Amino acid sequence: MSTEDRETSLRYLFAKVVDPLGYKFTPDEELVEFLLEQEVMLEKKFGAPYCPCQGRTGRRAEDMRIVCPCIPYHRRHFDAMRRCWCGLYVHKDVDDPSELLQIPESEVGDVG
Amino acid sequence: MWVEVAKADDVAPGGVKYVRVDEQEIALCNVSGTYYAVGRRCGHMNAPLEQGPLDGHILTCPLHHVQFDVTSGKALSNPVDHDYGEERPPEPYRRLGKLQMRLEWKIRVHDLPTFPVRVAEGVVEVEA
Repeated sequence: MSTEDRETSLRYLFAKVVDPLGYKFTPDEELVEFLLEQEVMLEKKFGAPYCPCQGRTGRRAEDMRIVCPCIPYHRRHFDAMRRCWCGLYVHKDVDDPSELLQIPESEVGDVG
Repeated sequence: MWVEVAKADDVAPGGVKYVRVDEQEIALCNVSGTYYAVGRRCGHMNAPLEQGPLDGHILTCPLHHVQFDVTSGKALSNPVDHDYGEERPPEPYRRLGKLQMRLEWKIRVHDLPTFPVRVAEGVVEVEA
């Protein structure tokens, strides 16, 4: 099975999940391709397309919370940033993702 | 040889139907009104694919969740382990499960065979 085919299928499946959550893929196409490629590699190695930017703990219940798209498990955090942690998804109203800041979850209470 | 396998409205969009042509077991898939025919047996462990969900062009095996592209027959993913969650199965099932999982992961996932399909006058035909 090829990485490109799996990237295409993940893109198709994930778009349908994040759309009703108010998110879309970032307009930065290069970033989308890079992150999806990393997720395909993680899926081949560990069995699930984990977020490439968050560490796995080895505890299944916790690790399932960072399987992409992990938006429902980090809603308050991501809504405050208007993007997901790695930037694969942004709010639907975002045209220029470079304006968005990464904010640690511990500081989200200080935003807005 | 073209063989009639179904009426055009037998399978709703998003649906999959098991049809048989001689010895060939075929999963007939309706992707948004366009029909595709692939081998019915999963390329991993032969599970019947018509019992799995079809999401767009992606068909998922009901047994270990291997995904296939029905337009090309290509396997898109590896099998996924059963999730027992926090509830761990009792011995000796746990040991048996581990052994089974090790064996399952050594089984290569093959692409599915594909078959030409045509629809004429409300009849779906497959060349097999």
